[in-house]
Amino acid sequence: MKYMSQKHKKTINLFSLAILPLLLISGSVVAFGQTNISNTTQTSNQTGASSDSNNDIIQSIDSGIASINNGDNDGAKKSFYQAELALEDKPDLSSVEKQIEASLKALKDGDTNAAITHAEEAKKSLI
Amino acid sequence: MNVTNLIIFVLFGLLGLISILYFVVAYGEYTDWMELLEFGITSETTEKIVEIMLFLISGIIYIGLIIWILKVRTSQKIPYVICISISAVLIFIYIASRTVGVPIVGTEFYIGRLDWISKIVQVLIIGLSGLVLYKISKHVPTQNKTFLSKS
Repeated sequence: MKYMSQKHKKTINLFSLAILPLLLISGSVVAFGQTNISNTTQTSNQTGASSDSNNDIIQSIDSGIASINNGDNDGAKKSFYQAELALEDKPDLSSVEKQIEASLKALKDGDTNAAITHAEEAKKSLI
Repeated sequence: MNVTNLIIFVLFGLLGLISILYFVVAYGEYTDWMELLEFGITSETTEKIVEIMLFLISGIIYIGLIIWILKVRTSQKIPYVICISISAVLIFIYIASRTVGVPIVGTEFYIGRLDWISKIVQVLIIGLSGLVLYKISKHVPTQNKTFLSKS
């Protein structure tokens, strides 16, 4: 009986160890979500004000879209990475960066339509 | 071969598939990270490391579950409970990452082919693990030892 309870304890400990890191990550999801929503709102307000300084990013995105339309996926990738590089020192434009990342991932999957859609969305946030 | 054994074998296959999928996704994130570094983009290093670690740990946990289930078969319920819990938590994290966002990573916009395949596999893992738990609970404890030999 004593042996069984020890074994049971061991199993519970193993279970806790396995599930704890995942629960820790998911636990802070809700709190982060609220912050993220307010960040997105803030981002869209700020992009309107600084649209002039974002021309180089828009050009890179446009170049990427044109490359996709011409069937040059590698060229599109380079253009999108250039846009990402230009976004590095602009943490307030994180949603734009995420759209470009999505475009790159879609390109990697061979889904050119999704790549163009995400690139257009990124551009919309900058104009 | 009885129904429970068949379910467990299918579950093995799905657990193997999901661990491979997680390793493939982790490798994909690694190559993305290397490409970003090639272009001099360093701001995403933490995000990429967290993602790679999460995918690698998930793949390893699923392999651990295969070994555990192979050893205990139907004599323990815990590995099946963990299968359900881990899969549910990973689905939850994925949904959060596509909606409200998750810490460090933020909100992702792209839903790829591997994403939905892995989520379907995880839903199947939850269903089959639940079914095995149901089958185990239907058998009285004294029958557990001979449960597999009946096949």
